[in-house]
Amino acid sequence: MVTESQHLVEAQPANELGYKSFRLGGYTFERNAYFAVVHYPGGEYHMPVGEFLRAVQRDIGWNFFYGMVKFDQVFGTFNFYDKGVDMFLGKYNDAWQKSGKAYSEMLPNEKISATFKAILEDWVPPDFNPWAAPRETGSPFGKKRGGPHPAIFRKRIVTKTMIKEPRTDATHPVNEAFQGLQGKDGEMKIRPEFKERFGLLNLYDYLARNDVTWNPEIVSAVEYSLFCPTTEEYILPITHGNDRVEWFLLLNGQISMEIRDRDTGTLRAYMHMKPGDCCAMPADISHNLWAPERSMLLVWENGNPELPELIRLGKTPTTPLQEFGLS
Amino acid sequence: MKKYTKGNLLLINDKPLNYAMSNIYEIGATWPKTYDRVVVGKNGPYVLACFRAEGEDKSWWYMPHDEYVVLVEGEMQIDYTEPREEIEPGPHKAVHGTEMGHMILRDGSLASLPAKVAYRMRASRKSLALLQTKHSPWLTYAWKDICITEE
Repeated sequence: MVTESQHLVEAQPANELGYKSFRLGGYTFERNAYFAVVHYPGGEYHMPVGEFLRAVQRDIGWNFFYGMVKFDQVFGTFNFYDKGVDMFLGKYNDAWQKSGKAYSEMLPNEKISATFKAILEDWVPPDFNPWAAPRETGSPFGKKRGGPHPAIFRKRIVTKTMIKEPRTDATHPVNEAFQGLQGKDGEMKIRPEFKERFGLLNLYDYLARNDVTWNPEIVSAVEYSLFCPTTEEYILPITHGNDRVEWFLLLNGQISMEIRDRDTGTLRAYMHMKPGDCCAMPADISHNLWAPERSMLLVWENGNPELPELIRLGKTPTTPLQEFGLS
Repeated sequence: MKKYTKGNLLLINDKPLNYAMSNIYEIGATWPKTYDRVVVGKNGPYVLACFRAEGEDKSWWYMPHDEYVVLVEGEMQIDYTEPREEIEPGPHKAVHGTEMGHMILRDGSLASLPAKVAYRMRASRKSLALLQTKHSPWLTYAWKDICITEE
């Protein structure tokens, strides 16, 4: 229970299916058996509730991440960090923009975060894990039947150096899809008085035991350079709109990608990645990923908080090879 | 590195080099020089580089910042020495100081290369490594050679 932020949540009585609705600024969120309904001053917008819950889980799991998190091609959030989080409908969709129907509202991070957590606590059924791949979990549909699934309280793993503790069978059994794919243990032969300064982890084994999908978590950091590997299966539940250049390196499996203009949603490219492929995501695109099998993806981020402003001022390139005169 | 398949791009309205798409297995399998740190990603001052490890690297490396290495495949040993006094960043033919020990990396190992600790790598067989580091003069930039330039 998120008791420390309950005062930020405006919950309303449960409907006939047992689900509460939640007010957040000019928005009200309600759910029925199959859909989440977003009421806003311009009308109402509907999304399949499974997709909505998976997207909410990532959005708050990443603290609204870098830049834009689109739940679909219409609704989402844009992280402006200290200034707040802009919640929008149609603001980054060409057709909505042209129709004049787009709506957005800047909200304090704490308030939107508290409300999204309260939505998950009330709407996620006990047998539906929004972090899991579809084959691993139950249905998000139907009337309230208890809950929530305990996975919604999972905390994102971060480090300022590197993760040194391996995962074990007791807490993180190897995922069925990765049976037989673990790495081979290395050996640390460092003199005892120096051991604290070193780390050795089997990344393949660590990822084979990952209990979530589509959740980049930091394993090593060189200042703002963050290695955030993740395991992917089925479809990324959000479309990520970059506010900086981001890099991907596929360690195994396969991933396909649909790349659109970040601000209009207009299609720009498709990409099909094989193991060993490394690629950049420019700072002005949005991307959605599909993984037909469970795959290990190394997401590499530059977490420098000044980057969005530097890009806006043209002091940092939008595409990575611009500084080499190649773009 | 023995067998790899590269991905591809289907461009609707874009340029291939915007995605700087390369394949580290291809670089590992075909790059002429071992231990040559070929940049496959750059983000501000930060760099992602790969290299083929085979035999002994002729250089000890010393950096003022932390680095990390992932051994993508193979087996590689890293020897660590703390220099008696601070030395210039970059490669050195020899480093004198306190031997701190070594690590043996195998498929999937992620290992630290701490700041101001000199290290040298050696591999008894062809191996592929990925380096999380910062820009320096000792990196090889070869975008046009490694990236997909057309669909």
